[in-house]
Amino acid sequence: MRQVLTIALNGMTVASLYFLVASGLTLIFGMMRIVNLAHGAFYLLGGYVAFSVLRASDSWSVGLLVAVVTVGMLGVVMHQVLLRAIEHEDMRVALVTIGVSLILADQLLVHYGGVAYSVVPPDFLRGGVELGVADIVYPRYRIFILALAIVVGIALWLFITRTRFGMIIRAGVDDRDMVSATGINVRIVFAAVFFIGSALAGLAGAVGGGAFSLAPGTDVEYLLYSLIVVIVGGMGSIAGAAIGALLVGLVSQFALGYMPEIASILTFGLMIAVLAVRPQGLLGRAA
Amino acid sequence: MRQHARIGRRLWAVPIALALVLAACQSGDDDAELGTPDLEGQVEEDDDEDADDDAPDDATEADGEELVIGRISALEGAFAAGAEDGERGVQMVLEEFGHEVAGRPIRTIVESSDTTPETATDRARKLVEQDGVHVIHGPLSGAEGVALASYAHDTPHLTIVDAASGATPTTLENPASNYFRWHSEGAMWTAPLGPYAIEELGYERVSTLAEDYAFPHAQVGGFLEGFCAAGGDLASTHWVPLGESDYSSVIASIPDDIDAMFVSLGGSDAVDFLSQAIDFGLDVPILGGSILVGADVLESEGQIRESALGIVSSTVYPPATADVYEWQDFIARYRDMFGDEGFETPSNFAILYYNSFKSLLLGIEEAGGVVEEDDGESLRAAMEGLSWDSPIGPLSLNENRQAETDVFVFEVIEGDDGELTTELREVGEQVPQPGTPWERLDACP
Repeated sequence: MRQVLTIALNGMTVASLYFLVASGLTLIFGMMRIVNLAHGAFYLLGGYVAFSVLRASDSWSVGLLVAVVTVGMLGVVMHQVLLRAIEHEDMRVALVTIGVSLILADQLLVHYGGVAYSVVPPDFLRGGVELGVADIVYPRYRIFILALAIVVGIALWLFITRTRFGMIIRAGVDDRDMVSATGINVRIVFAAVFFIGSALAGLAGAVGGGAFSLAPGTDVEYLLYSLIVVIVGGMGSIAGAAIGALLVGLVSQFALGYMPEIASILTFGLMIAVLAVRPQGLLGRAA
Repeated sequence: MRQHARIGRRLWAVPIALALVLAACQSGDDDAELGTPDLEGQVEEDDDEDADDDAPDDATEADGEELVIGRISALEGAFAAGAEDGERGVQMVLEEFGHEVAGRPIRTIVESSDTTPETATDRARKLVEQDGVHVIHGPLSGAEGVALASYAHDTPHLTIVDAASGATPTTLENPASNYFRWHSEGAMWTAPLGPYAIEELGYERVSTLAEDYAFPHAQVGGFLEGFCAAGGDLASTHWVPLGESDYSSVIASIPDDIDAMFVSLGGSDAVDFLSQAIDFGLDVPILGGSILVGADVLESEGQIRESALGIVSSTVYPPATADVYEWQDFIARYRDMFGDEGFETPSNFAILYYNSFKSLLLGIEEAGGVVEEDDGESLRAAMEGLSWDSPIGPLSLNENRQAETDVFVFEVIEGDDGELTTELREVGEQVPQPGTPWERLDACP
């Protein structure tokens, strides 16, 4: 009982991290039909920036903030400079973002070396919490990640469905020229979307770096996980990303607990099973 | 490159195919060779466009023909910190020899690998076919060693001196006559720990947790052989991929009724496991594999202190405080040369790289600097007959060109300065090479 509960909690907290990463990816895709394959490298960069700033300033929250802003800005620059001209050509966008990803990963490798880093959380987030169920003592930091993911998820959903800005974005996706004609600067709107989506990857890296170590290769790992999450959940859907993350997190953790050898195969197995039944993903709109 | 999935109206096919290709390419496509960040200017980088590397900064007086030694080191992946320390060991040897051997100036070409057998073999091919080296020093990790030993069979003119890898089959299954390993291997390092756990610590029932590749297979094999023979009982085995960073659910699934947990993880995996073990309330004693609590782990950035204290482990080099052989002298030289840049105590990678690289140079000296002309025959003959006193004890090779050395059982304790350090508990003298090329065990052998 205790074991099952602990693993279920692990699944949920890992899912929270996956959601934080994947939400940015799915947001950008949902609004702009751009698949940013540098998203995993953005995660890693966020983690490293948070580490360096934490070391320099001794403040964890400043580290988080700088990571979010830095990665968000990088996303905007990449979009404005490299992607705007080829926005509607999927293959080119994919190749360019892979290129950015490789260059970024190599730059980070040169600068930080191959050693694993972790972003040490502040004291008030360390240690365990008595859950009062089955004697489980659960790490506070993991509960924090869970709470953060819920807050971010709700905020994103409200932002897109309940705000004027969200409305403009949705309109811009459907009919860009019409929105421009009403006097709204669509370019700025889309830059903002790219900022938020990339910043979420930076946030995820800064937060995830406190639970799991950051090292070369982490970028590819999280890109793959976030792709699996959004494919399972449905490309472009925030709620889908949440459900996809939860499924992927639970499957991977129960597999790690009971069948660690085939854990990664099972995660892909989940994706295959979902795609066999619903090719557009659980909550995806048919393309 | 694989063919991409057909691009239909389903956009997801594009990113996933590409992501898979990307993942496949990531493990060894980029020729970005890197020096070790912390060893400024000391690791020579090899540049494909510029085959004429500069001579070392402190050029030697030697007037013989330059000797090029290829080196393969796992500067990426879980063991990057260990590999960087290994590089320090090599620097110490080069310093000692004044960057020359038998009157020939030494030039090294360092190739970075990532602990995978494919990459190690690719790098070896590149060194042999493009750079024309006759000698390779490397690799670091077990599975890489198995791959290079098999590659050695195909390249009889090449002499490979293992840097630090510790899988059993490397020198036991059809050993190559041109592959030399100057340190004992993973199963020998844990051999004394099994009996010690039962007789001295009274642990009769254990579970094992290790990465699922050649070196931990050897570690678990060596441990269980002695442990089970002494009457120990194995509750369960847990295997994870190398590079796994999440141990929370593995820790949750460890049985309650065990006396101790034998954990053979290394590098960043060890750091992740130890920092999560406390968070997730692992409350049984830990028996450490040989690299679970090495200097590269104990001195990492992670929060591992509480977990690491009290771990009993066994490895091929003495604890920091042990006054055996020339070990203290080696530590002093290491600190002198690297100061704050290196670890407080050299890791096993530093001492193993040092011993293996020095053995190679001593062999070349013995062979009078003749390496290329006779396809390495005199060098190999010289190394087979070589014996010398290393900082961790006398070294010589058995008929498989495999060293058999002492093994040290130690415990992680708190030093006088409050920092973590290690203390000697027992010495297993001249542990012999095992008779079984351990593969993955899920039950007592």
